[in-house]
Amino acid sequence: MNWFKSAFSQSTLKREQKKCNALYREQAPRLFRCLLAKGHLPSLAEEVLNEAFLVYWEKFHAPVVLGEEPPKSLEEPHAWLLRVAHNKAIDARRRAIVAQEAQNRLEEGASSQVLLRDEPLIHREMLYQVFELLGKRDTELLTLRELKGLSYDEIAQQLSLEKGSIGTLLRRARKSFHDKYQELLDDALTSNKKVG
Amino acid sequence: MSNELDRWQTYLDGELSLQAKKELEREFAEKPNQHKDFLVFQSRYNEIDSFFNIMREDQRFFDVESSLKSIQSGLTVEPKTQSSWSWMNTWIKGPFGVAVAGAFVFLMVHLGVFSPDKSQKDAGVHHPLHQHQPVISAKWRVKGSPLQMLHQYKGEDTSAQTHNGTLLRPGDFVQFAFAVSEPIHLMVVSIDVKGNLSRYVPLNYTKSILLKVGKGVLPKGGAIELDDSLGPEIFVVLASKVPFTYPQLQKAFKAAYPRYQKTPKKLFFAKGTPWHVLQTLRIHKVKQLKKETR
Repeated sequence: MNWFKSAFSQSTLKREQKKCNALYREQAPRLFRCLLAKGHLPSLAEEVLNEAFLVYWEKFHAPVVLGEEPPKSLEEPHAWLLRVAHNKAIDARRRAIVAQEAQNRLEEGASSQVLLRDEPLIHREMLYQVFELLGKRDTELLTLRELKGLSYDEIAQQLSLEKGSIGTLLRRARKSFHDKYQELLDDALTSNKKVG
Repeated sequence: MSNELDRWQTYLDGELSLQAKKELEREFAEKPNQHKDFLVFQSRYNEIDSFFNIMREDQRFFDVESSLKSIQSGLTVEPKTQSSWSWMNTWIKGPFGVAVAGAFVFLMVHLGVFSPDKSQKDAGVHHPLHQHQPVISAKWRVKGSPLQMLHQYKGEDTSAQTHNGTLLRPGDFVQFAFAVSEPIHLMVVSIDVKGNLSRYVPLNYTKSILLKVGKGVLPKGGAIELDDSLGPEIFVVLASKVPFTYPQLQKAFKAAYPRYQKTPKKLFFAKGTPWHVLQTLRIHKVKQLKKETR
């Protein structure tokens, strides 16, 4: 009986791993961007993203392999994964702050200021926030051109568009990106002034 | 004008045909005002490009395939946590249950797949769901005494070695000093009296930290402030030849804790896991510290 049980478990395991891997390939790049938009460092974003996927596996795939009733599958795994990853990142940052403060106290004359969110990081955070604010078409265009480096021909093919229209659409997407970035920057400067 | 802007952008993107490119450059030479406008456009184009440069760097940092590879060892299940028939639940429940059961009986009776001989032969065969991972080689050792835990009382300047039974207070600091003769992946966790597991090293990441040959302290260039929980707390140092993750540890701990709460060395044991419990150390956290107890 064991051989059959094992073969069944192995094939279920492989099937569930395949599903989980497909979800990872589909969701991870956007989740990574969203975590950066929330102000997390790339290294931390990657760690918590992976941790969230392991939690997702435990909750939604492992029970299937074990022959148990899994919870109802999520319609929007992206939102669930982002929430779990973000919470984990907050926890990690909180622990890092405690460690940093402890270190400052240990070092004689050390500044008590905890610098975990410096200027370049805030700048990066805003860039990703802008990316999330853009329309779907603009995001697709900018991802393909600016992040993946595709040519106009390749973009036209991938998005089923006329090659002649790519330049115009890209220019508008870039302008929209720049305008939204400027808006966020102005807002940040205004709120800083108020705080000051 | 927008047609002109599109042309300029296509030019800057390097997507204009050779002929169109030459024509545009000729226009710039002939019409200085147009060229001036183009330069303004180009500076904004460069500014936006610099934003994307940051994002391109992040993209390079995050490689989906290699990152996905790193979590594969976690995509497993704990074997033998089910009853001998519960694995079939998903098959025998629902409308297909009868058909599946019929097919199963057919296999057993007519094909002789489940003959007594075969069954006996397979009974002792183990089919691990985890991949085998290398364990620490016998050659690996910590020079001198094993990894040392050090503590510093809040408000004091000197540190001391922590021993089993050392009394510490919330807010005191701890640090780990090591000397290794071979690269090793390490993680330090603690278990409080309520059975809560916390990660101490590494603090910011869930993947084990790689110690290179030599001496050092953990956390690198820092110390850890003890939290507010009181009572006994056990620090467990886990080491491995290959990287491992905190979720893997949590999983093994969850499974072993009910059985081995009194034997910390066995708390993280699970088949196929790469780590090895290098050291355990029990401290006692109290609210106040009497001078004579130090």
